[in-house]
Amino acid sequence: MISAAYYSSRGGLEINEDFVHATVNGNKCCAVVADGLGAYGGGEQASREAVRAIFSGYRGYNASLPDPGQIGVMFQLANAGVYAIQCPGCEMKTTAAALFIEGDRACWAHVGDTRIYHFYGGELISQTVDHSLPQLAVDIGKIDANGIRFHKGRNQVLMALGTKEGVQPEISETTPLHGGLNAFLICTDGFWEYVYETEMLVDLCKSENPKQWLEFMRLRLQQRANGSNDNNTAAAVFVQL
Amino acid sequence: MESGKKMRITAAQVCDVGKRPTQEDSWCISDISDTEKLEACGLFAVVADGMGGLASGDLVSACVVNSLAASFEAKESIDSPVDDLYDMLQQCSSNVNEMLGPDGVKQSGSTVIVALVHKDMLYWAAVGDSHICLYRNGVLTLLNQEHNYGLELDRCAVSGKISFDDAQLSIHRKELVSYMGMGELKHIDRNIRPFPLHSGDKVILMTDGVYTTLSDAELAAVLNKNVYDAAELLQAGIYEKDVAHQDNYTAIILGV
Repeated sequence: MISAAYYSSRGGLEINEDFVHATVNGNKCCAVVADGLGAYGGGEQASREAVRAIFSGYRGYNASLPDPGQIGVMFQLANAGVYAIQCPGCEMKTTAAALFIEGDRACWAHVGDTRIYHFYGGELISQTVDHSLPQLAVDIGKIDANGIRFHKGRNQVLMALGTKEGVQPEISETTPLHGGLNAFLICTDGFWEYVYETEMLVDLCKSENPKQWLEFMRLRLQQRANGSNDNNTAAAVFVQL
Repeated sequence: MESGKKMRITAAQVCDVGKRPTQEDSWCISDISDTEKLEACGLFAVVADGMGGLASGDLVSACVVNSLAASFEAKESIDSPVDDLYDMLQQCSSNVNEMLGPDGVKQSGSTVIVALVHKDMLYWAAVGDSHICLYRNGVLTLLNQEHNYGLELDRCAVSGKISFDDAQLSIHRKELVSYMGMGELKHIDRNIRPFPLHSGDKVILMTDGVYTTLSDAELAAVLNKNVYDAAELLQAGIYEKDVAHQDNYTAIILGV
């Protein structure tokens, strides 16, 4: 059984440039989260277009589990869609992270620093790697992964949708899901900046459903946020096999 | 966690009256040397903080600990830790309400944190504003939500009923909204799935006399040691702070 929940908040900012959508249809699920980059203008249009385009592609493949090639096409179309709505002085861009599930299989893809976490058996099984400057610093050994949250270059994303040249999203293998509860969390940096991975695990162990899981974590975020915090958005998916 | 190899549990505690005239904290740890009981039921620990603003907080916290300890002692095995812990807590609540009687309910109270380490998994249940935290890889993580008015306000803010600013402004944020002795419990914080412990983890149960004096960073520095040294350093740290009106403080530190 699959269940999903999502939310999006403008945080302490005037405009919410995040966008999220998720659908569950029997044993199938698609969830997409996008974070419009503030520096370029029009971030809210960019994130909305990215989610629309990826969902359009998903429906075009009869809403089945797409293969890596099909996911690549979806992201290229999303990139083209965002690029097409740019205008002089508003070269909008966005991150995007998408999760696809059918039965006991899942796959996912992302561009930028919107993350996808997979939890199983009370452990964090996998987490996407950011396309960002702080992640580069981790890769070359200057900081450890925990340092990403506090890195001064945290807002510098190295790959985003909305480029003329196209994008190369990071696409997972089709991943078999084991019996019991598999939980996925897709979230923008405005979320994971304030909610740590162990806390995600703890709150998952307390939660009956994805909505409750998000509520527990949002309370942590809110108790840490300083009133001028970023937009924050997350989608949570439970796959009970 | 090393697969196939059960972790060894260690435990230490500290309990002090602080600068208060009476001790209203209570605690217990099951017998760690009873290997048969450990195998069948796990290690059981409880911390309770009698509410000083209400009457007989010490009696209520003692009743909480005694009730839970008796329930655990009566167990020959624990096969459903999540359900067993919940049932023990509900029975404890009934015992406290019975002790207080209809005129005493809501006139007196106590927080409670109960933790069970069984087959390398952690289970907990909490009511009130005492804390249970996990120390892992140098980071301290709070496991339970404080059951105070601030929680209710923050939930309203999350659901959009009030602004986050308004939620923060209330002067009543710290007032407890769920505690043992209130009658039917309003909130219980607990895990409903096992939480796997890793080798090197520490779990600390503590009353607010600890965490209102020592910061998370100070606690993390102390928990970097073995549980016995950690308990001594924790007490020394509170003593050095020399806080005026230092509250009663109690901590149980479990190590795996």
